[in-house]
Amino acid sequence: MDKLNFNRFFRLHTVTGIVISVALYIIFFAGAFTLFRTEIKAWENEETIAETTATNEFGVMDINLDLILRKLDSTGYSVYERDFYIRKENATSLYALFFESKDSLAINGGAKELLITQDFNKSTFSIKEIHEKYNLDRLFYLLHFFFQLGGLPGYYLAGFVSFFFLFAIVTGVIVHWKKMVSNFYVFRPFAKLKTIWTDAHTVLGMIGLPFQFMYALTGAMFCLGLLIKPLGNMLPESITDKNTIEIINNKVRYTNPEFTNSVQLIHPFLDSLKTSWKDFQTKSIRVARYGNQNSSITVSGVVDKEKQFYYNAQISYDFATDKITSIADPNNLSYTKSVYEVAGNLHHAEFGNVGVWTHYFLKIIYFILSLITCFVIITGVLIWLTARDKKNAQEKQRRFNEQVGVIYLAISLTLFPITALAFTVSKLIPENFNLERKLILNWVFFGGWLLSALFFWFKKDNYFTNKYTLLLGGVLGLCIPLVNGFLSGNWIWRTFLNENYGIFVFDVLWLGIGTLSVFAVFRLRKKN
Amino acid sequence: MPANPKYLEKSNWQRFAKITAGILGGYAISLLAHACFLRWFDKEAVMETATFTLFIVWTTLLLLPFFFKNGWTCWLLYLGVSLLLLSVLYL
Repeated sequence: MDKLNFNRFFRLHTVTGIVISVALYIIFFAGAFTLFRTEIKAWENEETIAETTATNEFGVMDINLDLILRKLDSTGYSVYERDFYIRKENATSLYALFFESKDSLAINGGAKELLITQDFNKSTFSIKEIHEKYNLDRLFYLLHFFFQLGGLPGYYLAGFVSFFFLFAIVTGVIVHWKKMVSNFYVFRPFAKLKTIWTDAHTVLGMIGLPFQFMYALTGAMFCLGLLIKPLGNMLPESITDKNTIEIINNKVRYTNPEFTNSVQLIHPFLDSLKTSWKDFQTKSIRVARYGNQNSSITVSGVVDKEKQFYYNAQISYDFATDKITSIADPNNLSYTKSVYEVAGNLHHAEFGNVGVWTHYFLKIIYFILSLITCFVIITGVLIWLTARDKKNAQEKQRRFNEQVGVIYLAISLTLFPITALAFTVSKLIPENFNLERKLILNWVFFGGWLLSALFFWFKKDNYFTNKYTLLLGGVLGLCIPLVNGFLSGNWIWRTFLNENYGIFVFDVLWLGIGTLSVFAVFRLRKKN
Repeated sequence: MPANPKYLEKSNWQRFAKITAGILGGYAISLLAHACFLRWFDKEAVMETATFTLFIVWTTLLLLPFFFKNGWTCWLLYLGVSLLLLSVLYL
């Protein structure tokens, strides 16, 4: 490539990189923790993540859902004509969300959140009104597409950041193309800082390339689906998938308002799914107008995760017309559904049931690669900064560059200690404050982030920012397994012995991060 | 070493032309090219494939204008290709 094009693409790479850097850093950082969503939730709620063998509808209870609903109706909750959503909460309980009843005369017909727990003797169950606990897994999940910036706008912002990330990857590869192989083996840890950063940026960027390309692409796919929509207008008709399962028709039994005594709707439906989908496990059910003849149901779950890469199953069924309105049948997946399934599984690091340790091994590899990407982003900003810190540059321009660098680093690097702080705080909030959890966690996380970012901005010393965010994050990170052990008794060895691997892995993760950070702080040397 | 400014585009208009050609023109061509496939192939499959190939094609088209000396020539080319694709789509 000639000099002209090389310099232009170098410039493009720099500019796109700088523009998206902070947003991309936040996405990868929050995304790295989102990989452990289930584990975070289990950790905060002291639950066991259990893949119970399916013996009944949810693999949770020996009582069928219709019976539970009947019981609910007889205890004063209005169920008939209601829309609701039920999902498996943990090994022994179900979470149910009842939407407000359309029937104004219905007793107890407001929106309700219930926790239905199987009792010890296994033949009965208890019902408790709850308010779903706001957990940090949700905060990080939403943050990794900027949902807190007012919903959809944040979502699209994340999409465009992904798309320009894709562009930055391509320009980066073009710029480094010639020296890609030779530079890969270059390792100069004792050179001057800028050289170290350049080496780290190119080598780690190279190692993470497939991973980053996958995330750039799937990120754009998920968030910018809107841009594909115009294609749909050029579609005259849509083709529905072939039906591959047989549904037991219960319409006959299903028109009587006195349904509470006789009708079973969900149970037979799930039963018929089970005959078609071997080892099907229900994860969640959504029902519209229960008990009405115009009722419809959507069931999501997984089949035989052990044997196949495609395992997510979903079916929507309309009782009024007795038709399947949409289906994703993993055993007979159409091309259209499989594209999404592959992208989703790659994005979420879910490769089916590969065994507990392989699963966590994969998640940790993903986690490390995400943090490597964060590092590549930071080193990119640092290279940009030092490359422009020249004596002959204009004073005003230099000031501006310096400010940008300081602010970028302050925002990005404080994310680490504030994450560690948020997890510690989340564990310290007493049960009585469950309703205020969302408020508290959001204030601690976003308020704390803002304050610490401002502090490091005004301090104007990148070395200081780097050192103290690492130290703070490391120390707070080491507190996480301790706080968990003191407050819940779930000490690392105990969770390991109890085979409560979700909590175990999360604590060990923080132990690792904390130790490494503190170690890194002591190895820091000031250099200009 | 930052990019040598001697090789960079100095005119803001040229920059504007190249960036808009890449973003808007690139998107239009990418979308229309996929739409053309709707004529011959299974529609849902094309739609689903487009969820990722749209972005790959778009990225390439975002890059292309920067090879041009004159950004407006690129705009002209992109308009021409768009018209061609439109005619394939609707004629």
